[in-house]
Amino acid sequence: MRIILLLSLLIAGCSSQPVTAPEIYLLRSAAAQAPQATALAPPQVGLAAVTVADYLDQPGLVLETDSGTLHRARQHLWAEPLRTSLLRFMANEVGTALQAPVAVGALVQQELPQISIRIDQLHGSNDGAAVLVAYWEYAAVDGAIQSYRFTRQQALADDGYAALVAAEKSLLIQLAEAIAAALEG
Amino acid sequence: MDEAKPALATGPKVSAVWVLPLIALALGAWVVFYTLSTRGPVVEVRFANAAGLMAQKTKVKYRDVEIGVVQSIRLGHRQGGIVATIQLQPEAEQLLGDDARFWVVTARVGAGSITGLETLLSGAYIEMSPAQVASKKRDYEALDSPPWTAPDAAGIRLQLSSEHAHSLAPGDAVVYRGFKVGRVESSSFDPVSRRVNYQIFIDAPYDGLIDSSIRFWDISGISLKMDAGGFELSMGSLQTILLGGITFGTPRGMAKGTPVESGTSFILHKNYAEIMQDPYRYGIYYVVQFSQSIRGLKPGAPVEYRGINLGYVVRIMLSEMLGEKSLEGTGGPIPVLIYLEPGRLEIGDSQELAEKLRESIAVSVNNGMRASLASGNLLTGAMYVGLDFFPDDETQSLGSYGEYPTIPTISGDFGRIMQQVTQFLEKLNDLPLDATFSGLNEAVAELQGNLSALRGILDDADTQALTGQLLQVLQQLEKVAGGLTPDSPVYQSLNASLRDLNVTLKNVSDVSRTISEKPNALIMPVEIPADPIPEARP
Repeated sequence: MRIILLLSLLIAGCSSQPVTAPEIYLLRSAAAQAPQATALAPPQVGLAAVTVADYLDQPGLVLETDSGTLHRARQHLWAEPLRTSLLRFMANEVGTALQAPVAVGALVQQELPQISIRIDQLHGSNDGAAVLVAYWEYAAVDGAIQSYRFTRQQALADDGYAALVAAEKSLLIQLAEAIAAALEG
Repeated sequence: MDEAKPALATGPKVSAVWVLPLIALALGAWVVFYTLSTRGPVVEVRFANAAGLMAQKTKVKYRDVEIGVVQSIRLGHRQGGIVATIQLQPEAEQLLGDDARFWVVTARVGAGSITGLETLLSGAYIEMSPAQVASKKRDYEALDSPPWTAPDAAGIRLQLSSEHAHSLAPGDAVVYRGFKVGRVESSSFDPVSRRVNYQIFIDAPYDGLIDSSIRFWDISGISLKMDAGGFELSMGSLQTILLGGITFGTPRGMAKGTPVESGTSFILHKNYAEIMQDPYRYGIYYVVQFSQSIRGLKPGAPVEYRGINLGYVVRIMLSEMLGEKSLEGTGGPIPVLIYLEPGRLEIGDSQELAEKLRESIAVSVNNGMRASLASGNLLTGAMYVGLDFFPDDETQSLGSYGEYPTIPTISGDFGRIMQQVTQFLEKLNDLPLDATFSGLNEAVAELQGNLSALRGILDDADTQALTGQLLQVLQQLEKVAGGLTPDSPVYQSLNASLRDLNVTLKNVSDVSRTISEKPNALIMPVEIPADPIPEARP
């Protein structure tokens, strides 16, 4: 592994052109940043997994260009892989919408109803909007499974990747609210 | 003047005046003769009492024709009852004879009929039944009640006897398949034989139904039988239900018998089922003597010839055996009385056939037929007497025991089995069991030694410590396994390392793609195009 790192450094050292540092975006809930130290009620639902489409399983933000192709940004990256950050983010947002904590990953027990989410599309479109296509399933304790589909676009408020991240975040929050609404219904 | 002198008769003279008395006498004699000659016979009939009889009034009739009148009635001093002197008309003389019968006809209300109603107005009269052969008999005993059958009626008169009292009375019907063919004429109880006897009469032409194989049984009332097969209700005609009756028939499977004569005696059975239990009339007695135990042989047990039932065991002749005192000392054979019935062979049921069977058995015994005790039911231990041929047995012939002939016996199936068991036991006794058991004892002692050595090993402190060590190892193993769960630090650390590796591999993949696109990228600077900027649309 060290050899590989050394090799990477070597390659980086060989490039004569100065490379500008990439911009990194963190996917986090706003609420998580508020200081909190209260005991939480036991979780009523568990988020078992959030899976992402393969084209999203990489650090760069994805943008659909005018020619209809997808471009993976090299200078605008996610701070964490989406598959891990999305799990925490969605658990947090669903919990906020439900006003009850949501168990995540290993904490999900067998006797809790479970949600699993699959993100099919999450990118900026060529018409100035962010696109989210997601599927999610609700598995009750007795084994009954219900499937849902969520498709929505959110126009960018401004030019630039920061606005794209904000729009994508907004879409994910809407997905969390839709899930919470379905659970409460 | 001449003096008149009476003329004196010189000889005896009979006055003519005597003629008249003579004529009168002659006339009288003639009248007496005539009267006597046309008067008819006078008979004296003894009745139990004079109920309904009146001198000079009560008439004597035959077939409703007046043939005489009661002249006087007097008490019959010594014999009891009353004696009625009856003047019969001359033409009635030919009706008198030894078997002529007289009885009083008066109104009678019986269970089955009302008779003599006309006598309510006309008064009782005496009915006469003429004799078959005329004779000079002039003293008669009257019947208590009218005879049920005319003496000259065609048919057959039979005697029935029964051990049981039946609700039968004179006049009750004898039916055959529901059709009345005769009647009960009288019933009586014989205190000597303690049996009830009935006289019945079967009218012609139904007397042809009677032969030696016929059985009679009572069909009075209603018979209700309940058993494992369900209910069985049987009844005769309404008359027999109310008044009682007898029917007859040939038991199932029995051959037709020989004709019988009038007066033949039959047994009156309680019901048909009783007949089926013992349907045969003729049979022969034999005695069989067994020297073995007769446990399980009971009265009624079958006597069979190769499975064909020939008869049954009547009784064990204990009284005769003890009378002989053969039980003392030597333990003589036990005599068993058996009864063989030819009717069971379906060759008919008669005395002649019984004799034939007797001869046949005598010949068979000479040819090797022997009686033996055989087991009829292994569960209950019931035994029966079997007859079969054993040609190997020494020649014997019929013997006798008291008044009965004896059939020689041979030890039966069971006896032979007992013999074999005895032989087996003798062989068992000859086996060297002592040596075998001593060897077995040695083997057991050795086994005990081995077991105590094994116990020593198990009791050893090291062996016991081994178990504790094994437990500790297992506990440590469990700890190690617990350290590898997803929540454990090792697992988390491993997971993070794998993630790093993934990132690195992806970077390598990018590098290799760059090199494949631009092979001089390693030494030449690579221009990375700026990312397109997302644009908001108004």
